[in-house]
Amino acid sequence: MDRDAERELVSRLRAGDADAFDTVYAEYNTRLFAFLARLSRNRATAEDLLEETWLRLVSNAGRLREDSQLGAWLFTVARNLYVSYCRSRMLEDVHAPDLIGLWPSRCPSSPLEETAGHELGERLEAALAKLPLQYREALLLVAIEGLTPSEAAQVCGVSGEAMRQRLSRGRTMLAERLRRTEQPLTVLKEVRP
Amino acid sequence: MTGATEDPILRTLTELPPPVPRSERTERVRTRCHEAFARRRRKQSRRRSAAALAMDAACFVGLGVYLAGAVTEALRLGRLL
Repeated sequence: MDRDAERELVSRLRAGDADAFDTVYAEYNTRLFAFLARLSRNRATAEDLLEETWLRLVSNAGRLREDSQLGAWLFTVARNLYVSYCRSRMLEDVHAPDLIGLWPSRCPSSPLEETAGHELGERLEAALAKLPLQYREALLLVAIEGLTPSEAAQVCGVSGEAMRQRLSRGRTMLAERLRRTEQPLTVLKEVRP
Repeated sequence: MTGATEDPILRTLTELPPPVPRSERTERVRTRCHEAFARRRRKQSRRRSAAALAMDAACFVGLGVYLAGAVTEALRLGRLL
């Protein structure tokens, strides 16, 4: 979404235009859900927090600044809601990662590729889920959601430099965890009758 | 992230299929938000009409005071003549 289109949407949202809301909803709903689901590692929690995020947009629409960046605004609210949720439940990093296990349609070219891709995806998703929150959210926002490091820093309330360090450290930890979960091929041994 | 596309791990990360919210929940939330927008619009228009009513009343009072002053002044001038 370019800046002019975004400004226009913000101005329509401020005026309470429901069609503008639908446009923003279509653009960000799945992205916010994916972010919250991977952050919370729980579908039901993600859905509740997503609903609250949208309701916050509606109740604050009249107070949006004209130059508000909707993506950054929404991800900030979603993240803050998750942080509050963790504080109230004292949940974060109590390990019971309820992994989302959703692997919808992709188009692998062969069954072998399908299996390999599926397996790598699952391992990556599991490794990501086990990263500490600060690294996980950095990777989710920048690598998956495509925010710039400075936008992600704004969302997480840290400096740009801190965000770059988190990204680098997060990437290293992810690679390390992936390596650890790599399973060597089982060698079949002959068994004497 | 710089070099994200060259980094195989980050590239795979971007290619992960996103978890998708359930469509019935998506629709329910959208409806709730529309209702909230409609409530906000109703409240705004009620507030606007209350403000307009107050402005009308203030104008009437102001006009009344002015007319009363004008009549009093006319009577005073009439008595002087």
